Amino acid sequence: MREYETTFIVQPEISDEGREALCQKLDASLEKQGSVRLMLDDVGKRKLAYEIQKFQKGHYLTLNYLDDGRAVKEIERLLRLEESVLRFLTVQVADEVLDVEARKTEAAEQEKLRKQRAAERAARELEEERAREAADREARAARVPVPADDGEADDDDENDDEDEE
Amino acid sequence: MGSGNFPGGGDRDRGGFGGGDRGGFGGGGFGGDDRGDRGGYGGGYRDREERGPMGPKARLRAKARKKARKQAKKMFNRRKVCRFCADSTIPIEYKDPKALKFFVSETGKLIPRRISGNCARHQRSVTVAVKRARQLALIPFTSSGI
Repeated sequence: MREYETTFIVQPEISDEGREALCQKLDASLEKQGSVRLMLDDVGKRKLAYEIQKFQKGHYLTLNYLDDGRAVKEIERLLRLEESVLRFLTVQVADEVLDVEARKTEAAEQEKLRKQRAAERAARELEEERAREAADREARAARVPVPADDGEADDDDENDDEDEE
Repeated sequence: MGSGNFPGGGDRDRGGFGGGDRGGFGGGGFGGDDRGDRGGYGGGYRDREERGPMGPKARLRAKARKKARKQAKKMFNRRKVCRFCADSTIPIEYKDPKALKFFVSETGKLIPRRISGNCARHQRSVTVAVKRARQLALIPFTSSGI
């Protein structure tokens, strides 16, 4: 069995449920093909280095799985059909995984860790967004002139950059 | 005087005695400052005329000087070591744009091996990683004049 890694970028506006549905679709496809799903890494939203379909941001997800090579075609077909997917890339990670079970448990642990981190990050983002909204409301209440508003928007962008790093 | 003073082997690159494009015999030919850099025996051409032909000791000294210069140059040129060879724990990952930034110029071009100091093997993997990262919009293909 070979190990593959498919990274795909989902439109940033898609809801969590929509993303979940897509991931489940992929999982189901993997199961049908008889390949082993290892882990799904939710990297989160990050700024794109260049615009894709007029989007400045994208939600990155990485799916690892073991397979003989047939499932790759199917996964890529599904991703191509999905309109919310901006871009995908499949990479072969390992040529020969002999101990499938060991890799499976290892991956499961990694997934757990990453999920934890993703949850923390999501919580942080939510908090920041709330703070931003509150600041916006205050600014509006104080009737700050337009240029000041622009400055705040810029600040927001910079915050996002820091998140990515 | 004239070409008689000039040691025959000293002018290997230009051929012949003192003449050639520099024109004529004697002092005129020895005036150039750049002469010191041309093969032959070390510098000090300007004084050669007064001091007479180069003795065997002077020739040895000149040779030693030339050798030292060559070595100094070599040392200066090659000091870099491939950082991935030096520390094999560093992974080359296409999902880590921050790490890849070291191998890409400000405009987004790959930095050549002679400058980054990578060995051939690791440069190859860096190249692949950069190209993958570009496809995933993690690092730009180009970024000029924004």
